[in-house]
Amino acid sequence: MRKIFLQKALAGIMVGVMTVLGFTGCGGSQEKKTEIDWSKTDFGGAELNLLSWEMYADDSFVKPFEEKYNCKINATFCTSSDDLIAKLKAGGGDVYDLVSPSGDSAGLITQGDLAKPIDLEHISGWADIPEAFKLKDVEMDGKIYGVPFLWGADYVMYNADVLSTGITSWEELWDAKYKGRLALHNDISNIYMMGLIDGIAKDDPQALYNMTAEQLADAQVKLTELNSNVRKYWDAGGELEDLFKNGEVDIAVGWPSTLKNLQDSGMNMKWCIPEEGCTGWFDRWMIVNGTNQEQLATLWIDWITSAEGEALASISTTFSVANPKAADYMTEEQKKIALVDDMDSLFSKINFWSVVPDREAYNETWTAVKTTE
Amino acid sequence: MEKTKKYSYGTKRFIQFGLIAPLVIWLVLFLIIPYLNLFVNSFWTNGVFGVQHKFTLENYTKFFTSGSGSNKPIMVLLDTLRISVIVMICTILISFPLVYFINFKVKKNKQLFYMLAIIPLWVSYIMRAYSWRIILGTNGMLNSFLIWSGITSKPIDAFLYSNGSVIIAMVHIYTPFVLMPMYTAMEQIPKNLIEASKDLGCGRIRTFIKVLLPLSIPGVLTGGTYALALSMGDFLAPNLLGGPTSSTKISNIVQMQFGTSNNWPYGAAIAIIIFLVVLMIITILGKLEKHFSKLEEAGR
Amino acid sequence: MSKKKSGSTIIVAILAVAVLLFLYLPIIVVVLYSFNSSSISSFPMSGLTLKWYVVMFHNEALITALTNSIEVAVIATTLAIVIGVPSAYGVYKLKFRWKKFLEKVVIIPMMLPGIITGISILSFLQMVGIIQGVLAVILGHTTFLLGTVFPQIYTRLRQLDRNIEEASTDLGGTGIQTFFYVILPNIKTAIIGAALLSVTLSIDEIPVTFFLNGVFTTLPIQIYGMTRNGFTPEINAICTIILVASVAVILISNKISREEA
Repeated sequence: MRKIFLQKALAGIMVGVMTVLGFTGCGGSQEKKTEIDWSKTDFGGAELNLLSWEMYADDSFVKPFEEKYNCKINATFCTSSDDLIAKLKAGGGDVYDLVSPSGDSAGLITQGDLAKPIDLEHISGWADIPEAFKLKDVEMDGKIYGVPFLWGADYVMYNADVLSTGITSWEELWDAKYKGRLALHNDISNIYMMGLIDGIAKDDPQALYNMTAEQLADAQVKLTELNSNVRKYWDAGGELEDLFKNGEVDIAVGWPSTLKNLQDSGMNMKWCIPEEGCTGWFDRWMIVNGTNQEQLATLWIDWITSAEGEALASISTTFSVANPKAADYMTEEQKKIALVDDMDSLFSKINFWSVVPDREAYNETWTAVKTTE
Repeated sequence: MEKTKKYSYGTKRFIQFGLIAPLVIWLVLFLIIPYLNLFVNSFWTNGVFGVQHKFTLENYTKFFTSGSGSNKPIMVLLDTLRISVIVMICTILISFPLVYFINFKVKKNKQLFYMLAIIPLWVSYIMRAYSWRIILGTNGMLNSFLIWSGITSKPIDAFLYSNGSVIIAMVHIYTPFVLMPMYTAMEQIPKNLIEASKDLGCGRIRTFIKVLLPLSIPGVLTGGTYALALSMGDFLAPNLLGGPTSSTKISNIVQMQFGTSNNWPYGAAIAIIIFLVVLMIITILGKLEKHFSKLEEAGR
Repeated sequence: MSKKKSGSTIIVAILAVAVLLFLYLPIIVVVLYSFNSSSISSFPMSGLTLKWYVVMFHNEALITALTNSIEVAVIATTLAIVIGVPSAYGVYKLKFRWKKFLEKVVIIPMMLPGIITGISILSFLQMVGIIQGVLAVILGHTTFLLGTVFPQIYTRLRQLDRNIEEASTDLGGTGIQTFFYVILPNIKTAIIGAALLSVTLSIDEIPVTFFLNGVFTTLPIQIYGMTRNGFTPEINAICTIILVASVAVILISNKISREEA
C-alpha cells in the first residue's frame, strides 16, 4: 500500500517535471462509446467523490448505496455556494464526481460547462418530481444537467429558554436587546435577505439577485448596522450548533438541519418565518464534467432522488423533498417535520436563491460589511 | 595542496555544481516560476469562469481605491499590519523573561526547560487556537472565574470573537517561533562578559541595558520577523476567533479571492502587495540585525 | 555568581513561570477535554471518560488524515534533506555570482506568509495541469521545508573547522570521500535536528496545504473541517496522543544524544 503510494508520488513528480519542461503529452482523452452495462452492481470498491453541503453524506443514505454497488463515497463539504464554485473550479472532474449546488450556483455550473448532461432514462424518480421543481437554469440545449433533491428555508431559529417569542418582522433583528446574541451565515445570502426586507422583491422575486448599485449600498448600510448585534458569522452548520450549545448566541438565521440537531441534543429550539417571508434554496445533484465515474454518479443520483433515498435524506436533515413519493417511506411524525404533506405553505413563503449575474459586486459588498469597524 | 587533487579543476567544479543543481532546479520550478507566474497573473482580467489573458492594472488600482473608510482593502492591510506588530511586540515581551531565565538563572537541566517552552508546538495549531474558545467564551473559564470570584456579575463577551481574542491566540501560537531564535542568540552571549561588566562596577540594571539588551537584539529581531510574517499570513486564527468585523484580515481577503470570491488575479495582486510589504519589513529588520551583530562582535 | 537569591531573580522567575502558564493553559485545556464526557466543549467539564479515545480509533477519516500527514511529512522531509544537504555543502564550498541570491531565495517560503507560497504553487500547478492532491501537497511541503533544512545545514557547515576538511584532502581524500567520511559525520546532529523540525512543521502545516490538498486530507485540514462541521473531543484525544508521543521522542532522542556526547 505504502509502496504503491510512493510509486505514485514518484511517478507524479516525474510527470510534473516533464510537463514543466514542455514534454506535454496530448491531453485529449478519447471517449469510448462502449455499451454501458446498467445491471452492474459490483463496482469493485470504486470511489465516488461528492462535493456537497455538510449534511448530504449521512450514513443513513450513503451506506445502503455503498453496499448495493460495492463502492466508497468520499465527501468534501462546502461552506457556501461561493466556496462550492471555488472548490469545483480548482478541482473539477479530476477531483470530484458529483456536486450538489443550490439555486444560485447550479445555473453557473451549467453555463460554465462544469457539468455533464444527465441520462434521465436511468433516473427512476424523474417522472415523480413535480414540473414546478424542474427549474430551467440547469437546462441547456434541451439537455438536463441537474436533478432536484432537497429544498428548504433560511429561517429564524432561537433558543426558547432565553427568548419567549420569535420575531414577526425581520426588522426586529436590529433591536438592541439582541446585542451580541445573533449569528448569521457568512454568505452573500444576507444581501438577498436585506433586499427582501426592503421589499424590492414585491413585484419581481428575481430582483433580489439583480440588485442595483444603490440597493447594494443600502444593503451594506443595513448589514453594517446589524454588525453590533452579530456575535459571529458562521461558516458551517456545525459551527452554528456550537454557538448555540456554548451559549454564545440566542437567535440565528440558519438551516432546518441545524435546528433538528440542536433539538436532538436536548435544547429547546424553535423556528419562525417573519412576515416578509424568507429566502431559501433548492439543491440539485449534478455530475461533474470530466469525471471518470459517470455511471456510478448517475446511479447515485438515481438512488438519492428515488422515493426511498429522498425519504432517508429528508429524515436525516428535515429538509423538504423534491420527490413527493418519499412520503411512502416516512412516518407521520417525520412527514410533519419536513412538511411533506403541506409543501405549498412553505414553498410559497420562500424566495428561492437564483443565479446572481454580478456576483462580484455582491461579494465585494459582503466583504465590505465584514471589514467596516 | 595542488598535488593531492585527483580530479581536474573542471571536473571538480562540475561535481560541486552537481550538488547544487537539484536545489536550483527545484527552486526554479516550484518557487521562482510560481512566484513570477503569480506576479504575471496579477495583471490579468477576471472572468466568471476562468481568467482572461488581457492586461489590466485594475487589480492594483482596486486595492487602493475601492470601498470607503475602514473597508478599503489598503486599510485592511494597515489594520492587519497593526495587529501583527502588536503580536510581534507581545511575543518578544513574553519570550524575553523566559529565555533570560532559562539562560542565566537555570543551572541544571537547561535543555529540559528549553524543551518545556517549545513543547506547545507539538499540539495542533488549530487546537491551540480553538481551545481559546473554551477559555474566553461567554460561559468559558475566564468568565466563570470572574463571576465566581465576584469581580463581575455578568459574563464579559468582549473576550471572544474580537480582535483581542485573535491577538491572544496568535501570541500564544507564535511565541515558540520567537523563543527559539532568541534562545540561540542569548546562548551565545559570553557569560564572562556579563561578569566583567559587573566587576567594572556596572550595576545589574546598567549591565542589563548596556550589555545584555544590545547583545540579544539580533535574536529578538529574527524572532520578531517570524512573528510578524506568520501573523500577517494567518487567516485561520481570525476566522476561528474573530467576531463579525474582526475575522477578515488581509490574508482572509486573499484566501477569499482564491475561494469564495473567485477572483484569482485580484488575489494575486493583493498577495504581491503583501509580499512587498513583508519583504520591506524583513529588509529593514535585517539591516538592524546586522548593525547589532557587528556591535556584538565588537563587544567580544 | 550571586550568592543569595536576589529580588530581581525572583521577579524573573515569577515572570518566567507566568509565561509558561500562559503557554500551557490552552495545552492543558486540550488534554483535559479529551476526557470530557460531553461532546460539547463548554466550561465546566461535565465528567470524565475515556470513550473519545475509543471513538477516535474508529474514526476512519481522522486516522486516514493522520497517516496521510505522516506520509507527506516523511516524503517531503526526505526530499528536503536529500536535496538540501548536498546543496548546502555545494554552496558552502563554491564561490559563484548568484550565491547570496540563492541563500536568500531558498528561505523565502519560511520568511514570507505561507499563504503566498500556497496560492503561487496552486496557480502554477493548475497552469501545468497537476491536480490538487497528495502530489501537490508534497511539492508544496518540500518547497518550504527546504527553507528550513538548507539554512540549518549551511550554518552548521560554516561553524565547522575548515582544517578538518583540509586535513582530509591533504590525506588524499576526494571531494566525495571528504563529504561522506568527514563532513557528514560532523553535521549529523544538524541533519537530525533539521529533519525533526521538518517533520514537526510538515505535520502541522496549514497555509500551504489549504490550497493544494483537494480531497486529500491531512490531519490539520481534517481537524479544521471538524471544528466547523461537528466538533467532538476525538480531536482532543488525537492531539493528546500526538503530544505524548512527540514528548517521548524528544526525551528519548535527548537522552541518546546526551549519552553520545
